[in-house]
Parts: sequence; structure tokens; C-alpha cells
Amino acid sequence: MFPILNLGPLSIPAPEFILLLGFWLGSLLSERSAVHYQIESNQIGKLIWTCLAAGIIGGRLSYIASNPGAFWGNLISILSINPNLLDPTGGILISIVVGYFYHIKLGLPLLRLLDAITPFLVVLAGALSLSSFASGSGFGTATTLPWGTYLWGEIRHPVQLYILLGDITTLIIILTIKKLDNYWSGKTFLIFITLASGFRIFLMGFQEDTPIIAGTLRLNQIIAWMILAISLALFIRKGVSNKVEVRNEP
Amino acid sequence: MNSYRFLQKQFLAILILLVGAGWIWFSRIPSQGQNAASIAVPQKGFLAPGLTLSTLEGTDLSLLDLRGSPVILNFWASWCPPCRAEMPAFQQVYQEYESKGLAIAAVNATSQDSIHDAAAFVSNTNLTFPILLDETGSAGILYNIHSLPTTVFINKQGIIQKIIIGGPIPTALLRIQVDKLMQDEP
Repeated sequence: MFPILNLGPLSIPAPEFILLLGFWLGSLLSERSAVHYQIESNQIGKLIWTCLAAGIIGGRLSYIASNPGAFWGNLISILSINPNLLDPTGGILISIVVGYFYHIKLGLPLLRLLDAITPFLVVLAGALSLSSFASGSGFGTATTLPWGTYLWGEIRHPVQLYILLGDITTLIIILTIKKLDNYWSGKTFLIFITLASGFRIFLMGFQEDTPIIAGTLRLNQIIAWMILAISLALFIRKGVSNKVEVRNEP
Repeated sequence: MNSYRFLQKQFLAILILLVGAGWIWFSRIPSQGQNAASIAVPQKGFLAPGLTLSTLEGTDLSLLDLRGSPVILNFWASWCPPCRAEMPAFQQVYQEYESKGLAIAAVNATSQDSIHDAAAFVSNTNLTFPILLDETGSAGILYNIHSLPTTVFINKQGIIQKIIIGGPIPTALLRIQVDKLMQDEP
């Protein structure tokens, strides 16, 4: 756990810094791979950063809408840069909606766009895991394995790092996939969804800091299982229709 | 041949999903549940580590004495600009919620501050909640304080509900967190 990075006189909150770094690196990767999907790289950059801005503003608006009374008489708080005044769920939803309409405005084909931003999504997922590790959240169950890390009173699985390794593996596969010939629109994105959900079903089995339902089952594992089921069904459906698109190499 | 391959893919998909479901069941958390509430560490969902410190008035105050009340523990120093900036918000919220049982304890990082400067700041800002003096730095170590200010929100059962690193905390955010403590919301 390393919640603060001390760089000389600066004390930087590590989790937020890692997320920003992931955002930047992911968008760089996606811009570079966009040409393989016949999309201009600057359009990817515009879309990603527009979605980020929309997510932040939307997250703030959603938080205010959920707690309006707290802001009466303290309207200046609306402009606070404190990240705890953001609703992540509301921010993500608004970001997706804005991104959807912006892609229409840019005239981009949706499935190829999803393929083009897949490297960004994989890197962001990995950054989220590393950010959790930095903050000490999402910690693992107790273990006696030699690579267990001492955290919150016990030696635990570094499950955030397990998930990060899974995301790195996914990224390597994704970056290799674009070189294959039997590509079809949406394939890269679907592979990412399948791998990410598959890894998480397994690795989240070692996570203790997680929402629980029915007293014992991990909610995140169940959601990942449902996503995996949908993605496998889409793969099979695609196999039935047996369409293969020829992708133009640059 | 195509229908055979289709059946193969279907079988593989079903097998993967069954294995996944089996793992979800096998790896489920034991029914006796998580034991976070019995471990005293400075992390959300865990018991707040106990501490007993001297106050500016010369008396001792223990966190255990405040069990049964929602508590805000704020780690600060007089030389820290965001710490100074957020204290009026803490005072405002304290005045609003003290009668409803809210306790605020501001832990001064005295090991890296001066009691004189801390006392002067408290006097000039008219703070009325207890100011604890962490003269040895032990409270900072106990609560894993890497940066000032750090604010810990503790519910009536002594379980940490939220930790906010950095500041200044806006009054609106303080109110929202206090309301959640009052309602014992997670």
C-alpha cells in the first residue's frame, strides 16, 4: 500500500495519479492502434478526453443531485476540486451516454470504435487495479503463500496485483490480435470483455473487500459471470453467421 | 461439419460457464462472515484503532470513551495550509451536530508542530472541540498517516466508515458524511 507519493516537496495522492497515468497511457495506445481499425487517431483522443470531462462533470452533478440539502448555503462546495464529491456510477453512466452521442457526431462505426478503444479500456482496468493496491482497498483473503503481503492485520493475497497481471495478459493478447486475418468488427472488444470477465471470475475468488450477496457470494464475481455468458453467446452467434471481414492493413 | 463445430463451441461455452459458476460457489466467503469488525486497523470497514492522548487543556481523552457516538478524527498541524483552511468547516459542523451526539477530535501532529502554534491557531479560530496532542507521533503511526490533513469518520460502533486524505474538506462533504454517520449508513 502506498497512498501518497512523495516527490521532493510534493505529496501526490498515488491512487488518483495512477488513474490519470492509466488514462493517458491508454489513450496513447488506442490512438496508435486506431489506424488498424480505419479510424483517425485524433478522433479517438477527442472522444476519450471528452468522455473524461463528461464523466467528471457528470459525477459531480450526480453527487449534488443525490445530496442537494448539503449544498444549500454552501454553493461554493459545488466547485470544490475534492474528488470525494464525485459519484463514480453517475459519472460513468453520463460518460458513456456522452461518448455514444459524440461517436455519432464524429460519424464513427460503433463496433470498430469499440475495437479501437479496447487498448484504452484494458489499460484503464489495469490502472484501477493498481490504484486499489495503492489505496489498500479491494484487498485479498488471508493466505500463507510466500508472495502474500501484510495488510490490515493479516498476510493477504495481493489480489489487486493478480488482476493487474490478468489485464496485462489481456493487453498483450489484444495488441497481438490485430495482426490476425480473421478479424471482424467488434472482435477485439469482445475478446477483451471475455478475457477480463473470465480472469475476474477466478481472481476475485481471492478478494475479501468486495460486496456480498446472500451472505456469502461475491457480487462482482456474479456480474463478471453474467458478462462472460453474454460475450460467449455473442461469439457463438458470430460463428453461426460466419462473417469474416477483410481488414485493410495500413 | 458447421453444425458440429457449432455444437462444439456451445459445449465449450457451457463448460466454461459451469466451471465459473462452480468456482464462484467454491470460493464463497464462509458463512461466519468477514471478521473485519474485530480487527483494529485504519481502513474502512475495520475497527478504529484505540488511542488515548492528552488534550490542550491537560486532560486525557480516549477514543474508547467516545464509543456510542459518531466520531470524526482529524489529523492536522498548524503549519499545514489545507488543515487550517478546513477547520472553520469542522467548527461549523460541530456546532450544528454536537447536540445530536457528534464528537470531533482534532489530533495535532505535535511531534512535527509546536504546542504554542497549535494553541494559538485554536484560539484564533475559536475551535470548541477537543484538540488532542500527538507528541510522540504514535497516533500518526497507528493511523498510517502519510499526509495532512487526514480525516477519519467512525460510526457509533467504532467502525471506520470513510477516510479522506487531503483537504480542505468542503462543508457540504462534511455534512454528507456526518449525516451518514448519524444514520449509521455504510
